[in-house]
Amino acid sequence: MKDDIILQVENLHTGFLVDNVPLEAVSGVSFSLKAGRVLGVVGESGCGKSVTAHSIMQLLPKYGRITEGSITYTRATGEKIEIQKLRRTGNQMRQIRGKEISMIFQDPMSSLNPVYPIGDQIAENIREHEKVTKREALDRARKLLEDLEIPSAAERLGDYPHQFSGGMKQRVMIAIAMACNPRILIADEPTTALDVTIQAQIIALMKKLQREHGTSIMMITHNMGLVAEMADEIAVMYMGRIVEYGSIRQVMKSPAHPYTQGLLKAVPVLGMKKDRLYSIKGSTPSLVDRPAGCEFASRCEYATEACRQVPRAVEVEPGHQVRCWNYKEATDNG
Amino acid sequence: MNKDSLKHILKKFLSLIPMLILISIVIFGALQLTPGNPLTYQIPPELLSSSTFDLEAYEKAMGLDAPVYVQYFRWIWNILRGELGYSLVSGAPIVNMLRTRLPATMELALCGILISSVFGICLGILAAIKQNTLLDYGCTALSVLAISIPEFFMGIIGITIFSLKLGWLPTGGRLVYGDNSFGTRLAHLILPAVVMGLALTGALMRHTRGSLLDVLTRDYIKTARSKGLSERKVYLKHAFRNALIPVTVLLCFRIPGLVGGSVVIESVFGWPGMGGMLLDAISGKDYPVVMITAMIIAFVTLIASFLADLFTMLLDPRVDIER
Amino acid sequence: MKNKKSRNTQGMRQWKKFKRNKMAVIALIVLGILIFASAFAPLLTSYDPEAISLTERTLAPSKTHLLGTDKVGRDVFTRLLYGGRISILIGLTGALGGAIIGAALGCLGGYFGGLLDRFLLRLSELFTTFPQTILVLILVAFMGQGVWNLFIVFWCTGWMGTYRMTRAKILSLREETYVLACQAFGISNRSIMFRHILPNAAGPVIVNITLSTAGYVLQESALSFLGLGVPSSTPTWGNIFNAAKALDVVQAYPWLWLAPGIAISLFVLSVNIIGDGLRDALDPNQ
Repeated sequence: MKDDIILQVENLHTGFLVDNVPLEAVSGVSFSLKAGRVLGVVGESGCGKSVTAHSIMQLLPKYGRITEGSITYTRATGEKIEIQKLRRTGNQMRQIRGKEISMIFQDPMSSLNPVYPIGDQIAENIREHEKVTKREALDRARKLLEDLEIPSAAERLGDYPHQFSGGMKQRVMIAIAMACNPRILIADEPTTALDVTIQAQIIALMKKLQREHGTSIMMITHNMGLVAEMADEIAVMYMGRIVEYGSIRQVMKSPAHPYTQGLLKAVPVLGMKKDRLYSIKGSTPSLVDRPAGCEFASRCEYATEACRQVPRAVEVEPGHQVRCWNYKEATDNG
Repeated sequence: MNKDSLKHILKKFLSLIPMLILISIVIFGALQLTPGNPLTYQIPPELLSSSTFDLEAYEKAMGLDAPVYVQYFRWIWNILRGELGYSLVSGAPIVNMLRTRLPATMELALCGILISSVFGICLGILAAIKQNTLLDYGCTALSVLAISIPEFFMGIIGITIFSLKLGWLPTGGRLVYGDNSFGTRLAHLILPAVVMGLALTGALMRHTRGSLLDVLTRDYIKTARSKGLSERKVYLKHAFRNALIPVTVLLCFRIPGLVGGSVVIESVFGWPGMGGMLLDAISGKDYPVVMITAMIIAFVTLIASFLADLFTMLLDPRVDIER
Repeated sequence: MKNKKSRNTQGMRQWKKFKRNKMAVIALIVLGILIFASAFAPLLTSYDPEAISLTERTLAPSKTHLLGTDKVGRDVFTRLLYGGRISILIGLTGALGGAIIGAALGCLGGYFGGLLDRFLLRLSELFTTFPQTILVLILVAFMGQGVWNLFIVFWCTGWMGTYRMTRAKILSLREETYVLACQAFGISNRSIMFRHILPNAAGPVIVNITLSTAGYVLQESALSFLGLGVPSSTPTWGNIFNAAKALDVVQAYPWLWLAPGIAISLFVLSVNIIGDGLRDALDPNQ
């Protein structure tokens, strides 16, 4: 049961129309999320990790389209649903959204509707998917807030978002996302907008909820430390592609892609001298003039002639894939 | 509504008072500076025209020769009692003139506001939902036209088409003597009200469209969708409520301008309201009437800004009650 | 030197952005034609706008009288061209004057703060309590009719928008580092204000001037239509339209009011569209 795949993404391509020019933000991403596990998706901003998440939820903006590939969600009954075939605002998609797969966004400050009390906003999700009275829904909302360690939860149900701090708002967002006890939780940079101390609290709460409910989590972040702490598996994304994918032990212990190595070296460690902190040279190319071949080549110290071609995913060891022509050299030196 | 917000409303209301006092001082000052004897408008015309009338004796008796500040307080007191003075031209008490003119303008303005808010907001929402379609472009073009074509031109076009060519509506006036039925009243009202509200309709349409488009990009709309809500609920419950806050404020702030615009509309349609009264007073150099009308309009402006505060507070919980 | 170059390229980019807006370009052409035709009126018509000809009263449009003649036989097309001169001049001067006064007061109040600022703020609040139409009417009532009086009335009643814009901009900029740096370098207050702060507030002020030009043309025509604007002997678009106050004119001689009505509408419409185009082009967020 434990290693059952609950969400399978296969060769996903998602593009946007910008000034009538199609731009591909996600180019052929494949990964799977196992029941009760945490998958970390890491990469810098603009690498397509958020777009991947929004594709799964069918929450892309108006001009975004899934152009190729499949997203297969397996229900508790074993029924397989190809999400990309559902209508965005259709009934079936809406039944999944919020009930079976739910999502937390990056900025808790702007993710709550300013004109409604937070109790109503949590209860709204429950009442959308379950036949309960408003009172029951509010009661469950209160319990959720208590689980999330919000003090005097009962009184705060009637408060408006502006009366909460950032960390508290993110807890409310988690309460909304967890309200119907979803099977998958997609957390899109849930702690980026928060203070460091608050970040730790939120992560601890998410871990606790995940333990109690057995929720599968797709954790999107640019914070390697966070992934190391929470994830079972990790996918490293760079410019719309997964460049390295494997279990957390495999990737952390022997990172094969030069980009992953760079990310790991860039994590500050307590007690380390500040000036020693590594940074990857250069900057990410723009999606508008995407370089031919390996997108990382211009910033890579191992780049060779071969890198003019887009590398295929290669299996380093069972379950550990990398997209690099020179990964052997990189592993040896890295 | 809790106690805090009531207190807030009261505070806002009280904060209008200094402005009111300032306006009354300006108006009083202007009246003192008007050409001719500034006091005559305070004397009943019967007295003024009688042969035995002694201006100096009367002024003394009524205290009209008192220092300026005493006169100011007496003037305010008279206004509060409803004694606004007398027209220099017709000699009629200004209160009596207002009694027939004010309701007429209110009727026109309220109708204009109603028409423009319904059409402006609905079309704005439609344009935003159908963004970058022919419908959107059409609505946007119409709104620029509505803002740009002068009211008097629109009014004359309306009269030409609906009154002269088609004969559906009367060319002007408000009431027909002896016929007070709803039908005739409406027939007289509809064209001036539509023309009056046209520019406001255009402005509201643009503002609603912009505001809704802005709200639709907000994260909480994404949150609402992520709950699996239907698009209907996303729009009705989450988007409109937020988008309408700035629109309501705009609407309130445009009310005084509408009353100002009544001068032109009432002239085009022969509508017997305050605007027409003001126009006659200006042409006739009837300064007391001009100034009292101006004061009433300033009063309307203050009320409108108070309403704007009130509505924002009711619609937007973020308004800081403490401040 | 370098700064100037970057400003130029920014201007080019904004112009390019403006040019992409087809409506705005069309509006600019229409506006150009209207202004050109008014400015060079004597070249386009051989009639005298004031010449009364009792034998040629209320003639319908024809080859000799492109837009017909009015009730005393004056050529409507000619009057329209000459009227445009005054109407457009009043609109432009009114908007520019109001903006200059507003920007100056905004700079003074915003930069020096204190009692002066409080007084100006109150004054602008007092002025905005009256709708502009009413304010203009009252002032006209006291000052009487005339082109110069209209200028003064528009200047007195039109400064508040620019004033508040400039003041707000200056208040926010005053705290910025580069202004503090200027002060630290000992650059004079006046120089800081006009060289460094004012250009930053220019975008919205330009848009405001454009849009209020349209507003003043509308207002002049409304006032003249009411018989309170420019004395009726001088042709302006509003004065020509004034003929439509008589119902027989509305019914029988539509060219007498359609022509000025369309002229005003076209002018205001094109200025509004240009204003919108400018706003989009100058908005760095788009």
